[in-house]
This record gives sequence, C-alpha cells and structure tokens, in this order.
Amino acid sequence: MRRYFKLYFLLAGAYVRSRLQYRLSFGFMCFGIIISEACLLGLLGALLAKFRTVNGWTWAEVVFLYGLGNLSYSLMRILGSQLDDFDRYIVRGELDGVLIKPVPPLFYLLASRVELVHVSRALTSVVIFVIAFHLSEIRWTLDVALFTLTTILSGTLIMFTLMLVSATVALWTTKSGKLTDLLISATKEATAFPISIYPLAVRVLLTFILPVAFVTYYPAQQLLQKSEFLGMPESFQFGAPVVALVMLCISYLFWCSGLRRYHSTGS
Amino acid sequence: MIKKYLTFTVKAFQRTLTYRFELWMELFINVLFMLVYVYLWKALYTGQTSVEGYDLKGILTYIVVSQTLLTFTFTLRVARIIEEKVRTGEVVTDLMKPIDFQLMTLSTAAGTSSHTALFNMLPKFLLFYGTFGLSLPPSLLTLLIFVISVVLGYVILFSLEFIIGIFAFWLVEIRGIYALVIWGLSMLFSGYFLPLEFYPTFLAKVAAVLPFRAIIYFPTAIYTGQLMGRSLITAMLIQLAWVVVLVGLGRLGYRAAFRKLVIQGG
Repeated sequence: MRRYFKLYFLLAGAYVRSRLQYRLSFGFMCFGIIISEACLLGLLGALLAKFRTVNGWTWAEVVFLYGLGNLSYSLMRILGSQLDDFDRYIVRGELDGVLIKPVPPLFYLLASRVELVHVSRALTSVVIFVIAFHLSEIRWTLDVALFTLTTILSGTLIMFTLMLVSATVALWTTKSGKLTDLLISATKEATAFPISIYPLAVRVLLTFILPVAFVTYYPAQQLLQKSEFLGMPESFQFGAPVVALVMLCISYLFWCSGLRRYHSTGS
Repeated sequence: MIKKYLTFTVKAFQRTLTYRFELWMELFINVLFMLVYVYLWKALYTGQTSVEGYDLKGILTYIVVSQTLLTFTFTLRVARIIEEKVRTGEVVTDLMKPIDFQLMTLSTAAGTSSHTALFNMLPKFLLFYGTFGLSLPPSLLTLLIFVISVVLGYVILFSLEFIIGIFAFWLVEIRGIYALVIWGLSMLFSGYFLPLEFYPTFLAKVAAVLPFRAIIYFPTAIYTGQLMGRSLITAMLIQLAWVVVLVGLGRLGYRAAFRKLVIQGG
C-alpha cells in the first residue's frame, strides 16, 4: 500500500513538472477556466433574474446544484483526466507498454497524469458553492458537513466511473475520439438543473443508466430541505455513496474484461 | 487549381466515414445536450408568453439552431492538427508542397465538417424540428441568407482555430490558449447558451466587440427572423469584416512562422 502511495506521487509529480515547463500555457488555461466559470455564472444569473425560478427552484438553489456538480466534476478532472483521450494509447499501440508495467494498468494510467490546471476550476466551484450554501440559508452543523463531503466524494466517483466505462469502450472500437469528453460534459450540464424539468424518460436515464442525478439532485433534496422525489423512493437522497460503490464495481469489471480481450493494434 | 484543393476535401470526407460507431455515439450525446437546454427553456417559459421578443416557439427554435451550429465548434480540430504537425515535424512536408498551407487546411477541414453537417447536424435538427414543432425561416430568401451566414461564421471559427494552431510554432504547447479562446470566450460570447438579447448590458457590450457572436448568434438570429432588413445587412457586413481580418491575420501568422522555421532549419 505504502509503495503505491509513493509510486503515485512519483509518477504524478513527474507529470506535473513536465506540464509546468509550459508556464504560459498553464497560466492561460487556468485563466480561461476561471473566466468561463465566472461568466457562465453571470449568464445563469441573468437568466434567472428574468425568470425568477425554474420549476420552483430559486437562483440560489440552481447555483447550489451547479456548484455541487462542478465541484465533483473538477475533482474527477484533476485525478482522472487520463481517461479523457485514452484511445490515444490504443491507436498508437502505447497500451502495450502500460500492460507490461508491474502495477495494475489503471493505477499506472491515472497516476501518470494528474491535471493541476483543474485545481483552478475546483477553487472557483468551492467559492460558488460556499456562496450558494450561504444564500440557501443552510446551517453548518457536523451532520451537514459530513453529508456534503460524502456527497462530493460520491459524486466524483460516479463521474469517474462514467468516464471509465466510456474510455473502456475504446478497447473494442479502437477510437472513441472526443466521446468521453462529450459524455461527461453533457451529463455535467444535465446535473446543473433540477431534473424535474425533464420528461420521465430522461429522468430515468439520469437516475438509473447514467446516474448523475445522484451527484446533485437527490442529495440536494436533503441539504436544501426539499421533498421533490417525482415518484422515486425518498431514500434516494442518501443513495449517492451506494450508487458510487456499485458503479465502481461494474465499471472496474467492465474495464478488466475489456483489457482481457484487448489485441494490440501493433503500430 | 480548385480541383487540387477539392481533393483534400473529398479525402477528409471519406476518412471521417471510417469511424461509424464514434459518429453514432456522438450524435446520441449531442441529442442529450440539446434535450437539456430545450427542457430548461420549456420550464423557464411556463407562465410566460414572451420575453425579450422571443415566444416559446421562437426561443426553442433559437436554442436548437444555435446548438446545432455549435457542433462545428465541437468537431473542428484545426488547432490540434496543426499543433501535432508542428510537434512531429510533419509540417515540413506540407510547406514543401506547391500549395497554400491555409487553403489546404481549410479544404481539409471543410471535408470533415461537411460530413458532420450532413450526418450529424441535419438529422439532429430535423429530429428536434419534428418533435418540438419549431419554426422555419420567414422566407426562402432568409433560408438562403442563413446558409451564407453559416458559411461565413464557419470561416471565422476556422480562422480562429488556425491562428491558435499557428501559435504552436512559437509555443509548442497550445492547449492553454485553445481552452481560453474556444472553450472560454467563444462559448460565452457566441450566444449558444442564450440569445444575446438576454445578456446583461456589460456582457452584451463585450460580446459586441468580439468576433464570436458572428459564429453562432448572427446566423441563428437570421434564421429566427430576429435580424431583418438593415440589422441583417449590418450583421453580414460585420461577419465579412471578421472573415477578412482573421483570414489575413492567419496568413501573416503562418508566413512569419514559415520564415522562423527556415531559420531554424538553416
């Protein structure tokens, strides 16, 4: 275990150093992320200033959802960016090199790329989230703090597993292009709004198949003291960690079965 | 002369055909994206009839058209391709050919993008058009002008990516600038998320001096009939001006880069 920790920091450290060689680029990217987050919030504000509420959710509550989803998303992006263009490894035959390393392939892949630029996104979403927390008049207690923390970690895991499944598909299809990136962006976007605005089919999709409703919507019921379950069991508000663990098992098994049938492209 | 460049277009079109599965999945996810926005606006408009000159049908049409046009931003990879060519040194073979580098890049991109337009954007649009009962442009002439405006917007988007790509000659690593311009500025000021009429005054003023609204907002507002008569002509002139400026900057940039490359080689 300790060996893995050491190895993780060694590999991640090497990657971070190599990225910091291009300081200007790094700076631009952080700047770009912060600007776009701030402006997006401005637009969201402009929108809700005109309309007051979305299906009974106030501006503060929507920002709360947005901040929560974004926080999980940015944590996942820091740790799991490697899966983003994983197909590169297959197209160029670099996966073979990873497979002969004396550590689990997934561990090696994740450790060898830790994207610190997304820290800027994480920090912005922390600020957004704290403001939204304040606006929604939630009282800070130990329970609330623990629940929030669990929710964020589960959310990060859920998004990570979706990314893993999507990346694994490339083991069959060779190329997946920007699919993973697109899928994650689309689901992240979907979590920024209360899922009550979608028709039943989309709600079922976001609850059971791409379960990102557990990243924001269901836990928010508990935190914002709402009870809008749309016919789903009320216990779903505590469901995030369970969903995260189940998804983790499923996606890891899928990943392993993908690796077993992997044939090198030979190039 | 033109035939030479058309070959690039045709080849790029055929290359895209190879990855069928990828294209279907991309379409599915795009549809999910659009559904999010369509339902958001439906929810926002409950109990409202008209906001900033858009009724529900008008706003849904705007959102679907702008989201469809956004696909170009998602799928165009000009900056990435140039960066890769510079890093691997492959760019040297391109520069040795007796062809114009900018024109060659544009005709290759046009091949990939016409495939996207035909097999992704058009079916997606028709699906939403049928399902949500959207409107058509006010007249056949408007439709024609819309198409021209889309092409102008496309050239502007291409030129921006081209310029970013050219930066690779100096910076090697351009992911930062790309993220800043394309994912940051362009996403916010192109008007894909909501029509520019909804922007707060300050953001609207910033949007007015940047080229991004010419990529998505202008063509979309022409389609919905929001821009008509004089304002339509102004919009298209602004588009033309940006085309001239950005294509020109791209040319200057790549000539300078080309000279720099020669110095390194000698």
